[in-house]
Amino acid sequence: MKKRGLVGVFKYLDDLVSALKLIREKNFKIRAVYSPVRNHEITEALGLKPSPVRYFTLLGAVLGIALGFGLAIYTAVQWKFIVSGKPPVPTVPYVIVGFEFCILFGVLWNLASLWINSRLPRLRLPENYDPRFSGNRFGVMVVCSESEQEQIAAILNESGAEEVHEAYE
Amino acid sequence: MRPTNEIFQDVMLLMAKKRQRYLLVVFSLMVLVGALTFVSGIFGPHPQRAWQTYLINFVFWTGLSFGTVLFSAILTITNARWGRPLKRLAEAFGAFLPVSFLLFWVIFPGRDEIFHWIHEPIPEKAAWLNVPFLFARDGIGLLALTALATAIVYFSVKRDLSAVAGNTEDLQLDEDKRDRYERILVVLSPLYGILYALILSLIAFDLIMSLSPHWYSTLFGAYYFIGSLYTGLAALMILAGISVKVLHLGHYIHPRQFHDLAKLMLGFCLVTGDFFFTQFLVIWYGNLPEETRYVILRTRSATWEPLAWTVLIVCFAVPFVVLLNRKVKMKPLPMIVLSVVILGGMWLERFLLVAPSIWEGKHIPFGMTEILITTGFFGAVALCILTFVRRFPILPVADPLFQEYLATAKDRNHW
Repeated sequence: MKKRGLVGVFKYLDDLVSALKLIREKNFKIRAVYSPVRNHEITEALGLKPSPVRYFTLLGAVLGIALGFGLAIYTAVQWKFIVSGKPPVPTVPYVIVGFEFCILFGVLWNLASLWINSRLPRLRLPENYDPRFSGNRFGVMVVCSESEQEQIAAILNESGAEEVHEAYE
Repeated sequence: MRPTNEIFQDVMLLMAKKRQRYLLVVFSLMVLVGALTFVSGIFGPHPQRAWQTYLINFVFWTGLSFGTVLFSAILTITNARWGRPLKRLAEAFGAFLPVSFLLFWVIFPGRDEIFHWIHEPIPEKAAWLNVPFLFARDGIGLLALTALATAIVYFSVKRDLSAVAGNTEDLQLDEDKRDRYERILVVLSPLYGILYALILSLIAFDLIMSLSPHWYSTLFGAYYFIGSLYTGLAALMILAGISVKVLHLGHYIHPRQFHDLAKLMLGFCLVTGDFFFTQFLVIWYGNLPEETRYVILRTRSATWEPLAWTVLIVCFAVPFVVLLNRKVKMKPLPMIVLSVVILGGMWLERFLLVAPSIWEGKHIPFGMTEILITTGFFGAVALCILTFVRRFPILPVADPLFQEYLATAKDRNHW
């Protein structure tokens, strides 16, 4: 069953952040926060853990180095690239291959993990979404039962919400 | 926002404590010990060791001081606000530069011990590598760069002193939000940046590369001045750490400065490593005897190979891995330790560039002579900085951008 809740639309970031803090203090459940831009204040106010994307990136980068060196060494051995005055498997120029693969795989894993971690692609927008959240407004969706509704609406309004309305997930 | 005078009083009071006298004595003793070791080394059985150590320390500390002053110039050029609390700390290293200019001339009497090409001249390079021209061009270059650095420090300090004296006329902001001093600094800083690259390249070519007169690398100058900026940032980090931990300047210097400075350090760690590799790869590929000899001696001979690996690990691998971590960048103590490691590594790197060209013995010439002469140089730099910060405020108290930074620093930026 879809959960019902309240959506607060905010014009100013500071108002949104203070609302988030109050809601969390009162232990209500925040379902989603919408912001047109990436913002540290929101992440901090929500007390979110740092994103795991960075570990994927690191893993991809390390894997890339191994793969770059591996590919270069493997081809050198298979095709016997013998150059006069150089060892059969020269490691010095392979640093460049390793480096390029490090960047490439770091980037690709970063992108992939970004998609996976943010559950993309999302083909249908949630009902509580408002196009203004991609424009010039911030929004927060708080899950609530009917008895809590008044209290949450009060918090949102007092923090400076432009508009508070009911919505479903 | 706190008024300029209040911050000024606050900082000056901090520096007026008695324990600094004791430090003055310690640093002076270091200088004395270093000077005595150097003099006794010159007249001892291995004068070359004393001279080469002197040269290593000269290029290390001079590059470092020019590099730190460059940080102040960069802040001005980029109109940066974040680094303003560190600006005066960077300028404090400028106090060593006039001393360093005098120390340059000490090399002159030791030229026969240092430069092979004096007793084994190379005819085709004689137009460039001859004693009068070398000392004239390096002397003029160092003088010009030192003068410019001193001017930058002078105008920056003068703003604070005149603000504290109540002279507000020069502090009026124009439409670009710059006072009279900032308008002067905005002209001087880019000039300093350009001259920094040119003169430090010259010093690298003349005082380091010419030690092996047959060897050449066009990138060597850039490698030296980028490495110098790297050491400069590490030295600045140490000074910033001391300011927060010992002098309790945590009200003004926040974790954010450490974070950003450490990010810059990581950047220059990568650039220094990159310049080394760029140079190394080309020499490796070309495989020309006159180019490879310099590198093979340092990376393949039994004497120097372990040192070469140490330098690569300490200057590049360790800082790179440590500085990837975000949290450690904001902690002064680990950053001080890391910076000391980097400075040690970069000193060894200069040692590796210079010593094998001069020293011909079987073992690495590293012992008490080297340690004590280096201590002497360290004492001289520390003495200059201490004298500077006792006399002048340790923060750019009247800098409008510093004031702006303090006014806008958010709570989450504080300790």
